Amino acid sequence: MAKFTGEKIIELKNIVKIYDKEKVVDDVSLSIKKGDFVTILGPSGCGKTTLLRMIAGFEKPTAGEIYLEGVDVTKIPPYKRNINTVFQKYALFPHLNVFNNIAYGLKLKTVPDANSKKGYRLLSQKEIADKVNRALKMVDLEEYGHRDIDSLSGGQQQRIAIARAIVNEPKVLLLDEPLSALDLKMRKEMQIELRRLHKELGITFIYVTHDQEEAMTMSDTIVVMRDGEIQQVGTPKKIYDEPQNAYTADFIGESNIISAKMIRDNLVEFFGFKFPCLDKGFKPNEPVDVVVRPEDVTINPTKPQFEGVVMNSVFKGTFYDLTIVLDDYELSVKDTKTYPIGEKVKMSIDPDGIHVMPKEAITNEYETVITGENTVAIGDTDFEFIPSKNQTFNKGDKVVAVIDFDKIEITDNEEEGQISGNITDMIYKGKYYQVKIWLDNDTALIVDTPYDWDTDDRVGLVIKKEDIKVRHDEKD
Amino acid sequence: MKKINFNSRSLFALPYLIYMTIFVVVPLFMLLFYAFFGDGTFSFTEVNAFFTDSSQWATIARSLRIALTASLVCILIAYPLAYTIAKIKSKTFQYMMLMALIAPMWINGLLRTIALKDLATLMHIPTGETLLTLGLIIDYLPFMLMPIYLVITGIPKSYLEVSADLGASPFITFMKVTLPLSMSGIISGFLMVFTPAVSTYYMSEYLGDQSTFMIGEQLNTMFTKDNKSGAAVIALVLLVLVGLSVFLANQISRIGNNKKGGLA
Repeated sequence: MAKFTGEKIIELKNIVKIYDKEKVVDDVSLSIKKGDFVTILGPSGCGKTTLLRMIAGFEKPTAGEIYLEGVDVTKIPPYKRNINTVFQKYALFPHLNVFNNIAYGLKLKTVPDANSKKGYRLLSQKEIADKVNRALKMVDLEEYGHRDIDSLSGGQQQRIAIARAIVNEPKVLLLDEPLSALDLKMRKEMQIELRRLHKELGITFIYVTHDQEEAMTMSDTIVVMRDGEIQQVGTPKKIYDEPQNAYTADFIGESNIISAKMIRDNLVEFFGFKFPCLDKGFKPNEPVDVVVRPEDVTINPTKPQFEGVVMNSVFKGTFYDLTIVLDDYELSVKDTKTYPIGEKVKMSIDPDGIHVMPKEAITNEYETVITGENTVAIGDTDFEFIPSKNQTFNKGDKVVAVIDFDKIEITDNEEEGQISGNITDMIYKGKYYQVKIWLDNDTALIVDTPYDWDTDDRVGLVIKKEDIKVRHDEKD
Repeated sequence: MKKINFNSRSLFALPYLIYMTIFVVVPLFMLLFYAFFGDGTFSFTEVNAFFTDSSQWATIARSLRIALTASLVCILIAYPLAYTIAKIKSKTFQYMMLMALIAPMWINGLLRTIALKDLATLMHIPTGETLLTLGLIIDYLPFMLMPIYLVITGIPKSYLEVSADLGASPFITFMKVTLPLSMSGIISGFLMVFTPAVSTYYMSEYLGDQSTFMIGEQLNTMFTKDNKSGAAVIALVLLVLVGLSVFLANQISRIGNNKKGGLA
């Protein structure tokens, strides 16, 4: 059992949640420091809300444990956990006024009392009134106690929902996209407000959002999630500067993600040029991904490294957003000056502006079975393949089908494909887009495509038989 | 000449306006006419006759008592039933349950009543107040069930989660959230049962006996004696009684939602 160290307030251990056979949260382990403002960041459907609901106690994990201050609370119902939640849709009780909404939790609370036979008592009416008024003051709605819920604006309702949660002085406050229903101006105000409340109260905040900007401005720690798994945990700066993979880099801020080759330690090759960098520990000539933030490219430097042609320039208020083409790469660059379209410019990237990441995968390795003579199952369809000379396969053999990312063709028309699926992720890699496609039987393929697709697009896939390499599954 | 200007939308209400005039407004005036001008001139004779007759008062009290008992028992049966059905996970199963409970209403009411009487005879249950109340409960239960079921399924799950989140056990959540928020369903169910029950005729005719003489039967007696004025007075009294119960029910439902309360 985990021992309470005094530092960690919440610990998740190997949490798994399965809904209808689908893994929504996949083996998540995370510890959260007392007093931290932690944001769980990810696109919709990445499992972040489910994770929060498990911490609150509304859902039980399929496997794994949750510790609150070192005590296993996995099986404890929500009303016995010293955690409060601010819901996305406020959920203020319509039959109670503002005061009674906030007092709801206080009226149920007991405090130790030596004079009472039971050893505890309920809060007195005066104590409750004092606490409610203090909470109202904290959210700047002092005079609103007697008001009906439906007489409040969205922003005011949100404040009341926050007051209703913090008035109970929970150990942890959970916030499930609490600002998503507000307009931009209100949202910005509430972000500052929440930050202030966090400082004043000293409570641990766990905040769930899909808005990376919101996460960057408010949090001490960001947890990036994708497909039910944690991608990276770190401070906003660390996640921005040193993304662990192309997905995180793409999700957090704008970035150029370029396929590259690590020549040796501290030297990486892309765009056909060699760049000094700070990364090491890769195999010589290992294929890697390189992330270059648009602001890390210098135009007309003292020591030029490469050149390109300006294709587009958009003024963004304080800087220009430039698109510069070299061969067939499109590089996004931010600069305070603009350059005429069509002009050739020289550029350089400082070693600390280059972030090298191992490639997630360099080819599809699809675990499947042989379905007949030289046919293999991919998705819910049988595909023909050409075995090598010395290979023999029998029906039912467990195999791995190897298909390169660029050997799969995507068609807009589902009917034209041999199999179909939904596009879930897309990352622009300078020269092409890399997309992840979930097939109908819940397996995925990665495809490199020159075209810009929309996530959630339904597409057909075509794979030629000579592009499918099959080998026996070594695990067997 | 002044041109009557109907805009197109108010024109849609015309059929109902005509209907309302012929079948609601005119009869209402006829009712008043018979009650006060029964013998040609304006008089309180019939009204006086009704209110000075203690047996009439007893009939009204009896009608109220029987209808009230039936309505309250209906609430006690229908609420837990509606709650249980609303909490069933499968929607299909929910609809199947509701269907099974509502299906008897597709059979003609008189037929049902006669069938119930035969059933009671078989089981040696005598006609009288007990059987009559039982009959009313069986007959009107769906009217209580549906509004309560609808209002419970309409309560967002997030309210129950918030309540649990703020420290309320499932029982306290039921008492402080589900019950107050389903009050409106209980009230409309009550009105839908109480209103027809208080003035029922064939139910008391078939299932009751001498001791259960209700206001509906009294009305029938008046007509068989061709006492239109007496019938009109009873009709007016019924009208006032029902109006009063609607008003009271609405008051109760407002208290149920203690929006304005301080430290309740």
